[in-house]
Amino acid sequence: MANKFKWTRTQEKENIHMNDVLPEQKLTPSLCQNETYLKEIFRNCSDVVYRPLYVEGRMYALVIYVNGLIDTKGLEEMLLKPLLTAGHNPEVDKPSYFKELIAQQALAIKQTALVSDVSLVVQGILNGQIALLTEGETEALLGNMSDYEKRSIGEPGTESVVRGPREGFTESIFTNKALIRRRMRSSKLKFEMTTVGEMSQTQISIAYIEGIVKPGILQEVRKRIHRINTDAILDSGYIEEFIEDTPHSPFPLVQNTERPDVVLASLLEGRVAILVDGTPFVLIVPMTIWTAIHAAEDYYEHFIYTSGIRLLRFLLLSVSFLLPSLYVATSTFHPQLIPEALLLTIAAARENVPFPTVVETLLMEVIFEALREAGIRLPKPVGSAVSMVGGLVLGESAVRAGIVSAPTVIVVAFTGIASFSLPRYNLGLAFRLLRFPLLLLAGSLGIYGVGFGVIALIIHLVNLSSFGIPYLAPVAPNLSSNMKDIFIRMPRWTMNKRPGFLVDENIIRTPAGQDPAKNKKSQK
Amino acid sequence: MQISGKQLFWLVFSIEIVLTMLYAVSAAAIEANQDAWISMLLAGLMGLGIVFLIVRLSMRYPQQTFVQYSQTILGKWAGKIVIIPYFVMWVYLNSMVLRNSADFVYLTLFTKTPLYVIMVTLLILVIYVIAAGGLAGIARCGELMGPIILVVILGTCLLSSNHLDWHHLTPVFIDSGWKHIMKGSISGVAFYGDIIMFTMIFAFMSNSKQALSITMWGMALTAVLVVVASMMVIMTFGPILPARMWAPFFGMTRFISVLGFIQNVDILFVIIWLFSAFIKLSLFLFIAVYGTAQWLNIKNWRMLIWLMAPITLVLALLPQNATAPIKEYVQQMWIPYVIPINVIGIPLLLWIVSVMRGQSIQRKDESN
Amino acid sequence: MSQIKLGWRWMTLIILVLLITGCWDRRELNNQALIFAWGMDLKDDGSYLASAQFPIPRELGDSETAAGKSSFTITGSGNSVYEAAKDLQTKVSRAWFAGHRRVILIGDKLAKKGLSNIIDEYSRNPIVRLRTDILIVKGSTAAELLSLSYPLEQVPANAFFRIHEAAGTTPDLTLLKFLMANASEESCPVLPVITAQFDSNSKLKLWGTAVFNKETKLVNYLTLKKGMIVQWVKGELDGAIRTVKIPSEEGNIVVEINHLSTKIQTSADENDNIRIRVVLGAKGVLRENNTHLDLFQTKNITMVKEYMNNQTSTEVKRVIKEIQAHGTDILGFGVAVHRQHPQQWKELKKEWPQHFQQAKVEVVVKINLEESGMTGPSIGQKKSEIRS
Repeated sequence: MANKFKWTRTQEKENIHMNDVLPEQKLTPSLCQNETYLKEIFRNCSDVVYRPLYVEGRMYALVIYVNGLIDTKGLEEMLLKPLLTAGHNPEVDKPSYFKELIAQQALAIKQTALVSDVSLVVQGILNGQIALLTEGETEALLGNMSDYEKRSIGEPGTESVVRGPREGFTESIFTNKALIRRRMRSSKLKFEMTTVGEMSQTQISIAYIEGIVKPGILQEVRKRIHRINTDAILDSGYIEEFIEDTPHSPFPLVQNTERPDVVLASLLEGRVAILVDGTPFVLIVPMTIWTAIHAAEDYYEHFIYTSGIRLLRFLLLSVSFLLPSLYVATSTFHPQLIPEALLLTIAAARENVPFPTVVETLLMEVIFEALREAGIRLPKPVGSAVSMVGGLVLGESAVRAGIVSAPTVIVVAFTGIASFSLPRYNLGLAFRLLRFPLLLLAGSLGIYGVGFGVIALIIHLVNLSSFGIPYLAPVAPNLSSNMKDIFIRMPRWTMNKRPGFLVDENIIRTPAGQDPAKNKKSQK
Repeated sequence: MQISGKQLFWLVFSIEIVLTMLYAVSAAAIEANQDAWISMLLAGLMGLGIVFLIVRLSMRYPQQTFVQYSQTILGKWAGKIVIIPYFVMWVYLNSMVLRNSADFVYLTLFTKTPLYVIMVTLLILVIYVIAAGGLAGIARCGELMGPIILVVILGTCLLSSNHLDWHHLTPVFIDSGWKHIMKGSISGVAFYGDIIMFTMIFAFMSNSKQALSITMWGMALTAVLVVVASMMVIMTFGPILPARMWAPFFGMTRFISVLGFIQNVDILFVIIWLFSAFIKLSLFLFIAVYGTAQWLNIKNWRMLIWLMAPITLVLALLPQNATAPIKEYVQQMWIPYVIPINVIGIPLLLWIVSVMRGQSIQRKDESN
Repeated sequence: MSQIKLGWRWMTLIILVLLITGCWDRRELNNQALIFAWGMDLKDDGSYLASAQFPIPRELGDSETAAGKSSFTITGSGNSVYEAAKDLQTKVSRAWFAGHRRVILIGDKLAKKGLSNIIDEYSRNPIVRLRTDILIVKGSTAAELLSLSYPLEQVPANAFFRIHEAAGTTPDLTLLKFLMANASEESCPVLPVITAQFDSNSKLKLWGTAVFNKETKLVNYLTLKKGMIVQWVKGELDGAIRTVKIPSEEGNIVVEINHLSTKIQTSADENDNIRIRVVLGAKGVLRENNTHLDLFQTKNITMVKEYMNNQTSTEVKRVIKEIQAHGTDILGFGVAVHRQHPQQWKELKKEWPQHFQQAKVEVVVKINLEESGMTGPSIGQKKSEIRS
């Protein structure tokens, strides 16, 4: 019985065979031969530059690099000039001449290495290093002069704050690491480097704080990242999909952020950050649903204000999820639940509408989503036109014409606003998506359908986990000692421990007894 | 699959409170009129007594479920035979809980929707949580929904307090007398008797030393709230009407009106009812499935859901009208058979035998 | 595991089927007629007349389109309540919805015949709220009252409710109180009475109280004033206005009383003779003085107080007598006896209406005149006229 439905799957691992250099290929003493060979590898790569150096018409050295990846000015100053002078040295033909040059530090290049494998030379060139090949030498010199055009550090686009640091990550992993390191001058902060992507060779860095992070979680992160086998990583989203616990869940199980302060705050709670080169979005694991409701600013603003805002966010979260369905359920199934005066208003507005309420609400929701999507995708000048057409023309005239009723428009609009109030975009997306099945349930079973949907959602949520940490921790399973930072935020001197479900050792963050009011009293 | 003390507390609370609050008060009021709350108080005390009995029994074998330790105590065959009445109870109780829940939803929300639709959807949820999360999933759901149930109940009590007239509670005791008060409490005990199901749960506790105090606290909170609820019902509807009402506490929530706009909060009550019914049904179905698997030595207990769920559905569809299941279930099945045999008789027997044999297994390695 | 996966597929299928074939109870608002008020009458030929008032949503919308009446009333008749309702349904183009029925009007003829069979329906249906106001229509029929238009309210049905509310009671609880009294061993139920004048401008007026016996048949009417006294005795009144006649003066003194209190002391001897002592207390504030008395004088105040207490107790006694004559205990005497003599009550309750009729009632009124207002003598009077 069981075997009948078992999927027979070919478990054979397919490797990606895209590299055309034989791994054991070595450099030859003949520079010409090496040149031909490398040119064969880089054929049609018009961005690879070959800069031969001649002495009396005879090529004695060859510099290879990728245009745009290196500091050209520095190349001229630091390498070409000394080399050209060195070329006039009669000893240039001596086999170990360049080795000596380096030993004498005549070439002012940082991070040099001597390699003899062709594959390593190729890799070095592609990584933005310069390769220096010389006549009669079987080892090439790789020097790091990496420098490329990058975006300057700006304000993060997805997580802006009123109060708090305004620096956001850039596409360069080195800049990003520096941004983190600058805020944490401790050798306990580690960045483990690795590369993922068979062709893209994307640099990935696993950041954590030694002594805080649970070794189990860290090991799991390493394992899952090393398991990834694909051709290219173009964004951290690629990584996210490979390392999620439950890939079929609409809920984000990996947090992403553009803010170095958020990364550090998470690291201090015992989480692990994954930096990916080429994207400003840094991944943070394990994620709990509450982190998606907490904004960075919550920790910078006063705790009373923050607590109020958080409660508002929970309200808006449930509005964004439930309001349209509740509207449909009550107005079409249980009108006795609506107060008389309100019911009369809704009834009056609905009198000429040709659609059933479910269809009407679905229609408006789809239109709203379309407007939102169009607003993001379109170029800015056109985008404002779209919102004009959408908001004014569609909304106003649809109501006027009696195609949709005004209460529906209000409900959909409020739902839309509420769904944008979540600090993390991707959780809002999940709830926005789930709104539609819930709407269908409400349209067929009324309030009971909504209850069905909510319970199903709760079941789904309590069974989710991110890197072994329950998604709803510390609420379910309940760990009340960690509840100071969930629905409200307690003052900083009371939140003196790291979350117990994430951290085993070094759990104390802030030693007790720092309540300013008490300190004041004791001074008297 | 382990559950923590807090999870056990919320499970006990959310399973016991709602059904007792809704139905037992009405049944007690038939006998004791304005003294129904004394009946509920007695029922609560008796419930605590039952909790004490079954937890002390279970704690003699903290790593074993009821099915396992009945065999440890009585030997393999006698132990298996003793489970038969429990098996009947599991199956029957599941179907009745399903039927009651569906009836409540049907009566409060629907007029045309077929009953089986409500039952099937409810069962889908239950199957989902059992298959996806097992006991741990149910316990976490309980932990999320339990506080919501508590808040809604406290809120409804608070908001209903403006119509109360304490005079309705008088004269205390003289009108009914012990006989009627005791009679009225039987239905309450019948509802609290559900706690016997937890003999299958204690074995999963991560810290089994807490089991007694936590179950007691859960039961005590339930009992206190039910007494308060029954007093409020009498203070709102007088001594006679609650007996004639189908669910007087629910009727009371319908009178809530704050500022003339916040009305009909009874819908909140329907939602927590749904929560409670869901937790109750999923825990009991889990127990039935898991217990049956242990009883019949079936390794893959999850498979049994696909057998047990349809049986529950069919049995739940059998009764003809809405009042029959709750009344008949209590009067004909629960009071004459289940309470004396399953809830008190067999556990007491097991305890006595166990004490006489001097058995007490404290650690897991000894039990295997 | 694969079986569980198969199970999921089936479950998804079931949910989909349910969703597609669902919508059993779905009713759009624009396909429903909302009933806001309901009326029942007994016609001369013994058949029932049901009437329902529906608001017209189109007329309630924005003011541009609204033109005519905001509601309309339809009647149906039949030999039973149910038949009348069915007949009514055939005359309405939309399915009706009674979840918002806040007011039920009942013609006095029907009330005299008995309400038990209609009350049952109102308390059984779970959609219908128990939180309903019931009013007895005196002098005309419920159907006539329902077809009146009342310009002040969005829906005329609300007028009945609001008028009742303005009288200082909670109309929400009318049905509940009726049911509670009807079910109890001690009391008899009452309902408020409303009347209308049908001249050029229709006017609604709260007339008083209708008293029912244990068979829920209307047996007696009490005017608004008497009804207030009943409420006072029951301890449900918040405040009232008393006019005190001073025999030696021409005018009278008006006192507003509040902080009303009631104490009912009962005693029953071995022959089941009931004695009841009603002590009514209140605080009075002088509102109007048409006499020549100078109320800065303590002796005048005392005099007014005495007159007031005497006149009030006579009035209360008269009302109690009237109620006793019908044997309908709407005053809560039975409740008091039950609470104060629970053992004897077990015997007394069997023939309580008789005992109630024969009970000897003593009324003591203790109104304390606490404030005489800002002025002693009436300002508008000549000095010579003022008597100290």
